[in-house]
Amino acid sequence: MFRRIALRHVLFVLALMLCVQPLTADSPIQRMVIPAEGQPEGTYQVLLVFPPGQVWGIRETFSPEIEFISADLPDNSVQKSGSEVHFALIGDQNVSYIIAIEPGNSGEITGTCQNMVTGVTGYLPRAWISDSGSIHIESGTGEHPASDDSAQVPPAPLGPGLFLIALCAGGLLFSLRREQQ
Amino acid sequence: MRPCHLILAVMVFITLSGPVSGALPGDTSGNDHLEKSELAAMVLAALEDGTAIQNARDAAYVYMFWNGSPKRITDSSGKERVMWRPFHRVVVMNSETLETMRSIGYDTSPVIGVDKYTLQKNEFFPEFSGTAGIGSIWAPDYEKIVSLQPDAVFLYATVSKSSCDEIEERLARTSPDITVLRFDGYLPETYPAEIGVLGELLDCQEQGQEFREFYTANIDAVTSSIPAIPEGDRVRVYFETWTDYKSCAEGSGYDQKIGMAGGSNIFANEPAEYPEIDPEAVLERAPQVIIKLIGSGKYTFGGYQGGDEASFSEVYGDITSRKGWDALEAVRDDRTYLLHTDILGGPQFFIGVQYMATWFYPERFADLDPAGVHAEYLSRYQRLQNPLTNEQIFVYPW
Repeated sequence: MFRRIALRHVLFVLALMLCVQPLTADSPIQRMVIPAEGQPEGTYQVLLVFPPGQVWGIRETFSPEIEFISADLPDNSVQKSGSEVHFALIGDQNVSYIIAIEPGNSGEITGTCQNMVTGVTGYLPRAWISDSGSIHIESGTGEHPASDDSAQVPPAPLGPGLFLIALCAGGLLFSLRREQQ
Repeated sequence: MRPCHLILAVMVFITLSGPVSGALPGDTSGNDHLEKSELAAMVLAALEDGTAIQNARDAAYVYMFWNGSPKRITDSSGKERVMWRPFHRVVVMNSETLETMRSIGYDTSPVIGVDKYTLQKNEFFPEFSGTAGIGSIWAPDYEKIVSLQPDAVFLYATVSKSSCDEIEERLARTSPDITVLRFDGYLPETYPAEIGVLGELLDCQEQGQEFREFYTANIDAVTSSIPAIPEGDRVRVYFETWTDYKSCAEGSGYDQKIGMAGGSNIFANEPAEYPEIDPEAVLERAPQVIIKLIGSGKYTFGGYQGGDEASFSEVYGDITSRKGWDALEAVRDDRTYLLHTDILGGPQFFIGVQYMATWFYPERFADLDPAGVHAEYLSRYQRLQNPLTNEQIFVYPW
């Protein structure tokens, strides 16, 4: 029992570390996606971490397989609009929300953000959940001046390093499931 | 329609209706305070409809930097001015205030109109060479000002007061949405306070404070020593403006600055602020130091415009060879100087005051380095790429 719990915790922490988008110089915004604890299979917690002391307008777009469940922000700071969910993050650094995806389906989360104080906009790291439940997170494009809106660059392609991390995360989650069974 | 959609639609309508004078952006409760929930609604409305973004950004600014309340300041005219949102389009009709804006680190990109004198100072204000000209405070181009749709217009407070009062009144009648702000930008008695108020107004408190300390330290380096010099021992100074034999008297800015540097103006008691002087009177009052102001009138050369050492030399020769002046102590002892108005007439007067102090009391102020202070002011506070060149002459002889 003790060994099982310890291993589960170790694996959970490892998965957490691997799923956190590594900090890069041009993208200080992080996305983390993990299976939601104590929730049915296919339920995930998404955490977005922003630099402190700002006002952010966040637009998350979900593929049709993904259902937005709830967020930890007050209701007046969250707006669902079709396949999008908008967040107003004021003064805080984090927004956390729950999504659900039918087990066996894959889905994608893309997002943009705008710093309402400075006007700079950017893409959030893209997240992809595979049909096996593995989680891939690409790098975002960080911030760029709002005046460049018309010339927004598409999300960067998945780099080999990130692909390796995603594979590792998938493997660890698979191990975790087996351990639970 | 779901209730949240209805609220959002109302928010979009409110935000699309454009800036309203006298109201904070997004203050739907109308209590002159922007609550977090009101800002959240603005942000969500902007995400829903991109055209509402500017109002949301203004609201975010007000919430983060003004604690959600309108900003209230008292300008140098003594009036309380209320700002409901940050300025995006600014017209500055006095170059002294524009210079001070740079000194306090204000990003001047919202400045979309300047007076004609600013445009003439291309060497000092290169970034405004393509900015719209709006005439001058004496001949303002109202049509141009209004067409620029500024949200703020800066005017003098006490200098050329009647002209500026008239501009303010006319703008209040025709364009009440424009916030008029009045600062002089160079008077020794009010300048430190104005630096503070401008810093507060433009959210440049930190750099404003830094500049104020720089300015105050350089003024104090001179003025703190002056009280120790007995009145009777102060150096007698003949100060001549760019009009020959026109001096200054008590009440004028030049007289004040001579006093700050410890000089005793030999024509301080003349009834006019800028009296015309009988040449004989100069000889009678036997000045120990002579200062000739250049940079305007027939003496338009030097300063930031650069060049023309020959003109300095010629003027210097003409002055020192005036009839009977060879008997004056100021000429005999080589204590006659040319001083450019660029470093005495405007916000840079503290540099001119330092030069004068070193001329009046060379031993007492041997440690002063006005040229160094000047260079630091230009590079550190004015952020000019090529602050000074060898061709720019501000004092002669140096």
